[in-house]
Amino acid sequence: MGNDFVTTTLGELPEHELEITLIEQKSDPSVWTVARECKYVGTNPELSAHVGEIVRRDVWVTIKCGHSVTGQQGV
Amino acid sequence: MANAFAICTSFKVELLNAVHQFGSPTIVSRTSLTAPTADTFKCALYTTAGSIGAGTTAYGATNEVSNSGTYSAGGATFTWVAPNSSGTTAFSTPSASISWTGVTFTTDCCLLYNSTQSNKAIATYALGTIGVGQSVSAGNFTLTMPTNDASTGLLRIA
Repeated sequence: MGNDFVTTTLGELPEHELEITLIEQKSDPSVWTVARECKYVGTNPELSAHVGEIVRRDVWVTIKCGHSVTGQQGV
Repeated sequence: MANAFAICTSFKVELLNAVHQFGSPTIVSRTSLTAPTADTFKCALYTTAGSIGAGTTAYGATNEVSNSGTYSAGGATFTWVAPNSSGTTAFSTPSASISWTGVTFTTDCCLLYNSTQSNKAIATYALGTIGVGQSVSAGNFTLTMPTNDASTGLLRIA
């Protein structure tokens, strides 16, 4: 760990130069969402303008429940 | 056990399998009349500027997310679990998660549609708060399906 490279908006960056945060959202009634945000925290002088910037964001959306077509009489 | 008003549960499953044909629509051949092949289904993603919903009749590229990474116009192909029933509810769900890698977009809704049958629409699903959606940047986007049962399956006839 730490020596792996991650694809970002700035190209391939070492994982240890990223601050990775998982954000879970349960507030929406229809889906459950987990996002993984990668913030650049490296020391490369060529990328100094991007320190603190989110350079990658992955999202997993889980649909909690699908659609139902009801066949009840009178409904 | 007394008589009861009901839509027969077997019919609900058969609807999902296109066993019955009430009208005479023009359809794309399913190869064989007696042992037809399954159609091809796809999932497309839309931006927060989209307006897909109950009135959508077919896939369209307007306000679809732009091509990036493994996402290309029209979205991804998926297969349904063979329709089944429990109690009086018929149900089916895509057999696996649908995912794209290396993508950059914001989406708040997806459309499931029948690619074989002239891209006819099946259903739309919110992917979070409509108008806000989910933003992905140089990353992966995975759409995970609910448990395929009579309570939560993605498409149910109850």
